[in-house]
Amino acid sequence: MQPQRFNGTTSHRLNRAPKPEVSEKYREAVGLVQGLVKTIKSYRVYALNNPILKKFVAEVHRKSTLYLRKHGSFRISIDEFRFIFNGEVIYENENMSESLPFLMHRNGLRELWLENGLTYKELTDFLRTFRSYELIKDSHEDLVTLLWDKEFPHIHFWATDDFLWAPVEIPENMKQLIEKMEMPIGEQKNVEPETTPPFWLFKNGELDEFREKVPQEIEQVDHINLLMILLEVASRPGEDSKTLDLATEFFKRVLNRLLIVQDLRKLVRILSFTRILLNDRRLNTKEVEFIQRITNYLGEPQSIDRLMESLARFKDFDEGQLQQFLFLLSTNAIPPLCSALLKVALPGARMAISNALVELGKQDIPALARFLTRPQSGLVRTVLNVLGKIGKDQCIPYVTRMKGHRDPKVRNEALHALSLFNHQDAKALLNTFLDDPNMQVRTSASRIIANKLGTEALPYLGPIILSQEFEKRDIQEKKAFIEALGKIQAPDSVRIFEEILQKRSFSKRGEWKEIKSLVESVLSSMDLDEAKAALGKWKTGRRGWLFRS
Amino acid sequence: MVSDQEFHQSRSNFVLKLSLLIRTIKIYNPENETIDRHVEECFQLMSPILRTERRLSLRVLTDSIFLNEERVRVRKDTYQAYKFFMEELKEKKIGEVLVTDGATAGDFKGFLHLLTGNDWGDEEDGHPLANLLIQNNIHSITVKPLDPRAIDERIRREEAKKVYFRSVAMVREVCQNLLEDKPLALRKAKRLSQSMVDLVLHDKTALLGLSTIKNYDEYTYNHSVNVSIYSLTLGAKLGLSKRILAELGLAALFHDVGKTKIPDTILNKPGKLNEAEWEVMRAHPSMGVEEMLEFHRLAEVKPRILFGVFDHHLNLDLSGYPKMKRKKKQTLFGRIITIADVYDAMTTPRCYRKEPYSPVDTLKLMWKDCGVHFDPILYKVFVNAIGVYPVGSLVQLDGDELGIVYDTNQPSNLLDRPTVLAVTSEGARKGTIDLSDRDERTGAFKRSIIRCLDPKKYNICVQDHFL
Repeated sequence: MQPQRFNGTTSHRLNRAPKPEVSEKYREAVGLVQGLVKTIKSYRVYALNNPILKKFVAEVHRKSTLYLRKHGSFRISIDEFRFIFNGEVIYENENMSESLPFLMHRNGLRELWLENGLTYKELTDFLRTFRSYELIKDSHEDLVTLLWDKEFPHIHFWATDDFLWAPVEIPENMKQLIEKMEMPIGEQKNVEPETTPPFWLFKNGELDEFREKVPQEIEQVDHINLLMILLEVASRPGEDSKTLDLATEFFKRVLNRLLIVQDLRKLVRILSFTRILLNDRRLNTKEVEFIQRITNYLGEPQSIDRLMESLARFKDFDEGQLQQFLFLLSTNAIPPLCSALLKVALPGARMAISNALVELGKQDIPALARFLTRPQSGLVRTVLNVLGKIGKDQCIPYVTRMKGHRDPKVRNEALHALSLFNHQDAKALLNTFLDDPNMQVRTSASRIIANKLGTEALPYLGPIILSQEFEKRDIQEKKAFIEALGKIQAPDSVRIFEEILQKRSFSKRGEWKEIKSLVESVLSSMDLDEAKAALGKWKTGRRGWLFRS
Repeated sequence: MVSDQEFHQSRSNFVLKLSLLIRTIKIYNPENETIDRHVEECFQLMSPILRTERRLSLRVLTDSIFLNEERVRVRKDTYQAYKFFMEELKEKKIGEVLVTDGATAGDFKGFLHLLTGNDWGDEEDGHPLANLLIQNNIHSITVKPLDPRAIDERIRREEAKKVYFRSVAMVREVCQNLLEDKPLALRKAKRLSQSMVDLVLHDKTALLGLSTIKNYDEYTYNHSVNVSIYSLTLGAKLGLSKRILAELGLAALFHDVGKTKIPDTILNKPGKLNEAEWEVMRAHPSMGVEEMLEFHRLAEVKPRILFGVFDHHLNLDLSGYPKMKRKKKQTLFGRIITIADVYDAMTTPRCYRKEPYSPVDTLKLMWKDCGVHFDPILYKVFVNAIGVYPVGSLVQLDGDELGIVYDTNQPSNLLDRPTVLAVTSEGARKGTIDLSDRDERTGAFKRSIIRCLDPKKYNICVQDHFL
């Protein structure tokens, strides 16, 4: 099918009401065109395997088959905002952002017709062409080319291309052409006559083998090859950076395409190659500039947004490839990746992003820490988690500042983050969370301190547990502190347990039994002679006897 | 899982069987048992396709048969049968035979008898055989008329001329606009490339004939279009898709666009270039990429197009230019355009070499550089596409007759036996001779080429026969 100029005019009879004698055919045509419009719109909204979309396609195929069997063909003219059938307006939509006639008209399409024999596959290919066009429209691909490329046997179109029909001077013979030439053509060179073998004959299987390799080479654009060409061209001598700019722009579009179609494998390959290139000492300034622009571009907000949109669209992405890609980004990707955390819901993607932030954040902690001032506590918590995983001392002040955050979940995350540092300052700060206004934070702090500080935690936990104020706290908190104290495994903590067991007023009414049982159980789990002795003493003692009876 | 080779072989076998069956029906009585057996066998070959694809469409497009939109590949042993079948359909002005799921062996036999019969009645609406099939209650098989463009060679050749000269004009316009910093119409180039692809796929000789036009005065423009035609012919023979071919056509059209930045004093220097001039000349592929990057600001230029522009002087062994700091492979587009570029350059008179090589000598000379400058397999594909005696070659036939090669013959073993246009010593047409025709009695070829001739010496303008 060849794009051709529409030779008709657009002076159709634009009657809006169908004539009675054609009304049935008109109605069927309206049904068919509405089905086509609805399905093409649905392709913008639904994933390809969506059952609703499949239903729409099946319906439009049913309608078209019925219509084409009955009438042989279906032909519509395309006006700026209207489809016209037999001189009647069959569909109209003046909303430029969604009007199908407008989209087709803008691309030069003026007439479309379907013929009997249209298959389901052909129809879906046709409908999908519009989706492909929508997906890649920022790359200037035109709809006529996409349709031409498909060569539909039963779908035809007319497209206007005025230049193709402009007059062209065709000489009737060579004399007319030669008359203009300044130099007479010489006689052919004589090559020594020699017998040549039939060099054009293929050896067995040679061509088939070659043909099998062609799709690999041609369909998969070799981006490394392209990168090397652009690098070569961009670095040509010259004072201005125009070529460098053009080469960068070109490659950016290529990268955009890969991001949109989520070709992470190729993106990883490109970024890995740029890393290798940057180690090449032969690089000149322009080449370094070109490579840096490329790598930085992938970390810019629009690139990250494109990738996130594509992840949301094709949910079954390769998590490993995504992780590898994100690891290879530059530190300029930190802010957009942090922002992406607010939008991305897919757990795999969130995990990959936070892992990448750990790697990238190691190189630029302040860039990451800036996000601690954001109002979204979920984001702040993730950043705190990332800072903790980075584990570098420079992170500690940023995390410490979050100790006073209004959201207890944030304070809790700050506590966890601090626990990941080995620096003395971080350890020293942990005990301050024992005074947090929120019970959950205090509870977590007790556990963390016990784990992290061991016997050093006793001076912090002991006085709190034995304080009168502690007795008023919630049973859960008390239990957490007691368990934490047990984990310390220090003889001094046994003495505190003994004191608790002897106390009458340690617990509110009804909690007494629960606390004493817990202390018993903690003491029995401690691997200390002092604990065993204390437990024996308690069990044989009067209070113990009373408690059990 | 059926391999690609098995897939194509099964389709080729079906066409072979069908062709033999039609011949048999033409010879024997319709009630002959042999026919029934052959019908059954042919139907058995057809059934798996019908079962899996629900339909079987055989379409004729000029020089090719398409089975369910896949071009049927021709083998040496099936060529005659393939040709017979295609001629049979063309003669009966049938463009497509469509068999739908549900067809029986009886329907198929009925269709074949009607197809080979002579009494079809008058053409009213659609193809007369289509009406006859309905009258005979055969609804599962139908036929469609041949596209007039596929029958009427004259229409195709006229279209080819328009496309050729519009392309030359377009390249000229692009080069001038580049010099004057005016906007470029890439869409125009795209459409022309698409038209060239359509022409090459439907009738490659229409454009190949025009590529014999070697306009010295407008060398760059004509050369660019010729290189595009040769590249597309090679690409089509290789089996590249339409989309890729359109990109290849564009890459070839613009492969020398970098030369617009080279001063005419260097480009048209009659003598040898000095080292400084060579340095400038060697930069034209890189400068070409720069120009394409400029285009990209306005419309999309695909990466493969840059490959073609940058790589076309790189050579297979990377001995060419531009010299790169880091070695890279010469791309497929680059390898194809290299062959097309050298072939056209050698067969065209230039300021520094007024005597061109004949097409046949050019092919021989280029063969010597295979594996070094050219990809040997692509080169063979090229020769198989344009012929051992390329279209437009002047040849002496046995019996002292002159002929202009007009069309190539397939497969490879008939490549040196093209169809020629016999001409008088004044260059007037006498008629076409297919050199692959054999004497039915002896089996020997009826006519042969004795040697190639230089049209200039015989004062024959071969190009006029394609204009």
